[in-house]
Amino acid sequence: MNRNSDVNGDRPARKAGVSRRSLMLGTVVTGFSAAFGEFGLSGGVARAATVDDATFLSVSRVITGHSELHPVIARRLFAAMQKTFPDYASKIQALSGLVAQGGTPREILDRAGDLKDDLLALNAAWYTGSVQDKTNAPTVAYYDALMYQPTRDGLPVPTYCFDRPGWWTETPPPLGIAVHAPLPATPPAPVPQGIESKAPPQTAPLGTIPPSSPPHSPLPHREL
Amino acid sequence: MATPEFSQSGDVSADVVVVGSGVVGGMIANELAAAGRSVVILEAGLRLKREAYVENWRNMSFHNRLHSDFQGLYPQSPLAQAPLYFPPNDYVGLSGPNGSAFKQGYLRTVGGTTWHWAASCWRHLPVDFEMKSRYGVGRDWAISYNELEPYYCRAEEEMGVSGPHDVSLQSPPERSRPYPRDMIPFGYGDRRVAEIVNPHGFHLVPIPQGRSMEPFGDRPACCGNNNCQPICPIGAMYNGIQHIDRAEANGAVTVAEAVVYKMDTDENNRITAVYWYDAHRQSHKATGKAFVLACNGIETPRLLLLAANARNPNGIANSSDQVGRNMMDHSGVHASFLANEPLWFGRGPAQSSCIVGPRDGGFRSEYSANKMILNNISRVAPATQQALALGLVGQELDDEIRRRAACGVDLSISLEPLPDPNNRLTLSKTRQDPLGLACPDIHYDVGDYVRKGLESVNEQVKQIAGLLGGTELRITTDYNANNHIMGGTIMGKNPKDSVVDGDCRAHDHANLWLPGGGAMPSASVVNTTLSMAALGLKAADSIKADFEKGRA
Amino acid sequence: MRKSSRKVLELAGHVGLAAAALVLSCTVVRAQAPEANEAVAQRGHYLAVAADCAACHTAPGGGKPFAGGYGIASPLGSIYSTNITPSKTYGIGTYTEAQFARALREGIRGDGAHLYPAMPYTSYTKLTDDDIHALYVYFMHDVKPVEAKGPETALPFPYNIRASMAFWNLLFLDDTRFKPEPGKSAEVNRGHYLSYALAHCDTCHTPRNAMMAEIGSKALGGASLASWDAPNITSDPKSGVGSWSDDDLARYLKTGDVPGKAQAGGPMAEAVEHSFQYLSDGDIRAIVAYIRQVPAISDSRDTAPRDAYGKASDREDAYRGVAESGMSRGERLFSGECAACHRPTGKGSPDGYYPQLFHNTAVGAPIADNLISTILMGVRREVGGHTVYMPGFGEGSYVDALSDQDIADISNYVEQTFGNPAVKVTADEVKLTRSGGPKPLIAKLGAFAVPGMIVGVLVLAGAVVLVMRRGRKKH
Repeated sequence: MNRNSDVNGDRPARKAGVSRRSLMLGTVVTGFSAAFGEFGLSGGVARAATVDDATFLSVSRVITGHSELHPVIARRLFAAMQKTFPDYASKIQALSGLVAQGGTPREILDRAGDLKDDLLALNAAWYTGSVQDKTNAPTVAYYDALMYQPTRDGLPVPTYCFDRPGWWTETPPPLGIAVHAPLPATPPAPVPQGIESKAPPQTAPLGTIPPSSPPHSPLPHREL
Repeated sequence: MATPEFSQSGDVSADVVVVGSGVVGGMIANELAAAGRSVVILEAGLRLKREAYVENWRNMSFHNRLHSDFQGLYPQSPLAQAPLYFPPNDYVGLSGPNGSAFKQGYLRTVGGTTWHWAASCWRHLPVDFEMKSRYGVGRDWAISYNELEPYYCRAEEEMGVSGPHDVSLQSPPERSRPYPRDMIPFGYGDRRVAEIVNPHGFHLVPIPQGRSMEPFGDRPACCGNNNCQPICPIGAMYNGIQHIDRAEANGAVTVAEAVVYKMDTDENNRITAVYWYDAHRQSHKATGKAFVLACNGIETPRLLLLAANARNPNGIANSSDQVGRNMMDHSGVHASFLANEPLWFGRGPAQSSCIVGPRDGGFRSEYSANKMILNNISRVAPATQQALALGLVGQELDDEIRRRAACGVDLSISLEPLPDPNNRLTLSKTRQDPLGLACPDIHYDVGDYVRKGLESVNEQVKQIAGLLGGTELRITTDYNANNHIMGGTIMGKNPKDSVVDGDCRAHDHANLWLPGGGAMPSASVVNTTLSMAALGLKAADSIKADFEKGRA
Repeated sequence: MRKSSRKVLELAGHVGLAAAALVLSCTVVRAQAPEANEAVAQRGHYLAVAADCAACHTAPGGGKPFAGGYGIASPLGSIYSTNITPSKTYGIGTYTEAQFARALREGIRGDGAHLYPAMPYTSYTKLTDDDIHALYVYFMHDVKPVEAKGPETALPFPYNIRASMAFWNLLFLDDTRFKPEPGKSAEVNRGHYLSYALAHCDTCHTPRNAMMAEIGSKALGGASLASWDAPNITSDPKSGVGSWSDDDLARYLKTGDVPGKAQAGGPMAEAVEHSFQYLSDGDIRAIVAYIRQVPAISDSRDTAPRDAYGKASDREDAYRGVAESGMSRGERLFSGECAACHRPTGKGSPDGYYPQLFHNTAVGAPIADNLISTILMGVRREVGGHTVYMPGFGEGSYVDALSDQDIADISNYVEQTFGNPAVKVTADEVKLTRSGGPKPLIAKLGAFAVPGMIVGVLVLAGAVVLVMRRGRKKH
């Protein structure tokens, strides 16, 4: 199977960078269809008059680099973020100013200054589909959460079928990127599977035993 | 077709009263109902549709899903709590050196905890039944592997297990009948790891699983949507509800939201009735000829202790004082690393292959065996969390998620505690459930046998990671629970130091059976469900024989 | 529960038309051993597959080939297929070729008794003498005798009087052989022969009159079966299959699956499983060539082809994380019960194994019968050694047993989102489908109405005989 980011077929692939034109287009997207739900309606959530859903969407598209972000999720995520974080509209207002000069997500992050945490939090919300990485945090997206995009050609979004029974026996797609990449910092330990509301303690990274070691052989049975 | 009789007040009378509607209770209920006995099943929890669990899971917060909140999607009856961890409800009070290793996630709901298992259907090894006589540690079972073997076969057939027809991949290979279906084929990651580690003695084999590649009865083929835990959305995996459905088709009746709290005994110490609270806290009585408690390894001993009466002041079935003692689980650790090539775990069902090389050996006289599951749950969520924590954005973020998801390895490692009477479930003196019934407390220490076994595990993990060019190798330093609760109603030949006999019949009560994990005197290192089911079917046969011989 | 609606239909209307018992003379003739000609037998085997004999005469789930014993459910009771192996005691081992031909063409057994038209002799009567011979050689020579007696069919009075079928045959059995239509290509004529004399497509796809006889002027125009709907397969581009390509039609017959368009379920899945998948490519092409030129039958209510409705959905973006109380029941249930395989988008899996819901003929059809039946009973189709299986959601379903209202809500959501928004489903319709679909008149009327029907049939039969005689005189 070739790497084909559209194999799951529901969203166009990432576009590298965002042009000023698409940014402009994003800001005029208005009048989203009516919906419902806790984060579907704006009622009860105070908003700054100058920041609308379209601004939130266009800022989101630029900082994530994903031009295909869906307006319905954007509207619901914006409402959820406003409910969770005080004065959130002004943060979007500030981010809107930051992204106006254009650039790649990395370039924008590099000049974000005090807005860095806000930018990363918004970016994380689009990736995880939840407003925060916190127990029972409000969630607005699952199937279309951005976290599943980079592996859509090789891994299912859990609960949704991928292909016919046995598809997993086929050769997976090529990785398409370097196996090793320079990291900006030491990553935190991954969360192991198991019922824990927080990651259990783990060792610092350990050395491994080189493969030239003799084969592992358990002691033979001790017959009594 | 015999059916239980309900009175106007809601009391019930049946040949067989089964408390607990999980895989064991369901199978026994079905066996007895199919044999023409009237059966009532009393279940403390709710009865909901699969669809509700599926949607609750998808709607959960990323954080809950990342940390495997497999309990939270199953709504609980307000009167029948089960452990919750997001946030913790402290239903089970834990203490002791490794109390935190006993954070079990079991369900009190119609169908039981196999709603969120991963369908691993392992057998114990023959030697696991003779730990004391072969290795001088732990206890021997009251029955041999050969006595349980036919029931293993039946349990596999009932559950539709796919396992390797190739004898060299079987663990154990001692079988009288083949698996109902051949193994679920390996994905790329399993094949690649086997190729690399097997020459070094690790012996990676397919996990026998309760799902199949072609439809099995009315179950569809597994589509590998990688969500076995916490819910198979399409019903390709065996869940205990399948036997509840079958039992009901044979005339059994399930009463949900029925919290059993009391038991009556007669002058011969036979059980004559159990009592339950309904959803409105009204008490009802179930009379019968044979009684089965199959409420899981924590709730069964808890109920036996709660139901203490004048004739059995230390609790039902507890003349040996062993009820609630010897609590075991496959206390385990996780090891994770990044391989230096993409292995793409997360394709196919959530469990696929397992390293069983260190499952047995002479070392077991000194320290614990282990098994290492190559966890096949998608690594996308932890990869995302790590990549986000690195402060990446844009293409670099997407690449890092892809790299970590494709190269990430998680080994779920199980060890084998020995039965220790000090590892004990007791009734809390301070905490009560909403019905005023004492909550369970558990004191737990994995023991030096496991601690020494972990040293060996750490070396083996370092070697495996080395073979796969691993970086960022980390091993958890606290033991985690695996929900394989054993020991609390331990089996043995001697009524003075055990609770049940080889049929899981209580030594103290001729018409009470306590089948399931609680009866298991040795943990082995493998998931307990198939052994529990086999014990359940064996118990069902002994109940049937009692009825046929007029002893019931 | 998996009953063949096709077979039910074949007999449902017929068996009740009891009039009076006829004493039929019964000539017992010793069977002669047929010539052991392997080539002829092989052709006979192929014809038996094309005629789908095994569908009824081999009990599903491991029954011995052609030993019968398959209980075909009917509103009047089970009709058991018979042993048609060459067992001299329990099968057709004593049949002469003439007796064999008479059973196939006239529905009369070797002992002279009438068959119920569960046996599609109104179709097989078109078979050529050569093909009858080949079938005879195959059954006598290649089929292994099974020395076992199957269960007896025992319908209640008056349906147990088999001779009543004589009257129905008089009215509706056109006992003539297939004649190629001049002016049509050899391929079309071959396809016509295969479709009628063997595959008996018309049995399901041609609507029937009150006497349960096919309406010739509406050939293949679509008909409602018990729970399922056999769609219009004429060449009309909107009401029929005129918009399908030849390849699509051929693939459908061979596999029961045209990804992104149509999947065979219910009785059609059985026809593909037992019969069509084994036909030669040439014969499949011939059937397609024939079907393509069947005169169009158009329903003015069909404004677009069935496979032209609906589009991908992005509704998950709106409902994820929303409490159950904030969603429509249909949407919630669709997401929880259906979306795992068909995906929230309705696109199914990229390889087409899990079908796409929009542009899907079952979903875009003008009536929801096949959608409802699929949800209730699921789909099972074994093709090429693999079983395509969707579990049903009816009573006792392991996945989830859904209520009538649940299925109505899901159906309406699916129709609105992916299909024909004009189609509305009620819980009562689901209930009817669950109970086996609308009952034929004779089953509804019950035994008390039978005497009246007998009189009616006798009068009608008399009138028809009179007319026929007059017609002959004119010539």
